[in-house]
Amino acid sequence: MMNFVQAVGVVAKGKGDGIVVATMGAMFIFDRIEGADGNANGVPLVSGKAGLVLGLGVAKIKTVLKPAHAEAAKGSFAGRINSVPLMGGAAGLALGLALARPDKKVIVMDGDASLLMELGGLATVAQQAPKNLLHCVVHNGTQFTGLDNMSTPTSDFQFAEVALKCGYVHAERIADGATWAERFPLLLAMNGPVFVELMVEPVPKQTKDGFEAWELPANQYTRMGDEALALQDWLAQDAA
Amino acid sequence: MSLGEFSISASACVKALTRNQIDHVVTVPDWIQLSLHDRLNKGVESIRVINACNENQVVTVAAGLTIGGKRPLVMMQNQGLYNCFNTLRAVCLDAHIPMVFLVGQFGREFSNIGHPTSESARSMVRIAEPFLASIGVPYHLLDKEEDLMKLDQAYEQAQQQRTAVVLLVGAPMAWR
Repeated sequence: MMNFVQAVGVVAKGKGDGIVVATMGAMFIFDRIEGADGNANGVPLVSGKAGLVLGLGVAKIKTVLKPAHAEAAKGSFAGRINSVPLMGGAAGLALGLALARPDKKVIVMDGDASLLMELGGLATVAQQAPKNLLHCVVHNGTQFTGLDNMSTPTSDFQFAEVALKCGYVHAERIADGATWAERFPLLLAMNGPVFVELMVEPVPKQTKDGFEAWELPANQYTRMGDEALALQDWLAQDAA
Repeated sequence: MSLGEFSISASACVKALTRNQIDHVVTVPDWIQLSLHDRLNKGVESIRVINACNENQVVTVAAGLTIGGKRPLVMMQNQGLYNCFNTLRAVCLDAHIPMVFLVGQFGREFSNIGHPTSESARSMVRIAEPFLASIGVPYHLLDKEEDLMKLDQAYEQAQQQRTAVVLLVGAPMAWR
């Protein structure tokens, strides 16, 4: 299995001028590794293999997943919107964006628990058949990943198989970071909708007796609105 | 009982949609608006119909379209409105993405049409207006064909206030 940072880092590194729609876990990682220009220049390449992200290791994951007030206040690059706090909303947002802007690639970094909440969304997406949509799901079998790691309702759900049966043009399951890095540009270039199920290790939990909860940044409750306006402006400028 | 003046025609409604330059209708079908669904599904130039599996998806898809520069309309019934409240909250109340909803008062007794919905025996009908008032979503009643001008006002209000605006369709639409 790959780790969460590898799963997100490949997208951050290789998305080009595509639009990204993320759920909360992926958002925390994007916030940490993206620069103000939306590029993940700090994510190193290894052995000259483009997009192969190994530089950010598991040791850093705990801190990456903890919401950082500074990063949250900074917000996202204009090309990314996060379905936060709204579990289950990422695929719908992405579908609307993909239909509105067929000239742009739209990449969804969904979560397994989020997608299970709106599984019918796979059928909605497939029926509309946006060619420019790449739908990725982080399958780690946990909710509140890296915090309490509560199990999702089903741990062995076959997301890729279901997406394919719903009518996605292509779907596959990828379990290691190197394969994901190699496949990402090819999958992004395909006519979609394309679905990728990323098998990701759960991040070790932090809660235990005596654990003290931290307050989530205030911005986390308002940032989707700021991101929507920024993305709207970014797309309008891009179209002009 | 004849629905008479309370039954807004699908053709007049389509005119209102095109007048407002609506380019997408995102929906889970509504019994009250069946004739409008039928017209749209037969094809109206410049309007694409997107059917979603539930109302949460309707709201998020419409939000994505709006951010992408389109002008969608959302159609659902009152039960669907209650179903998608949390998504409406996140998208329209917290993220302030403007959105106009056409919501049919499914379950309304014909004998209640022309009277206040507060007198309906059906909870799905009776609670619609107090529900919207309590969550701070502006709403208007579409009770007669001339009320279709409220669609124009709803788009203006949604844009100005950056919120959801709901138009409650009070009676089954006419098949003409």
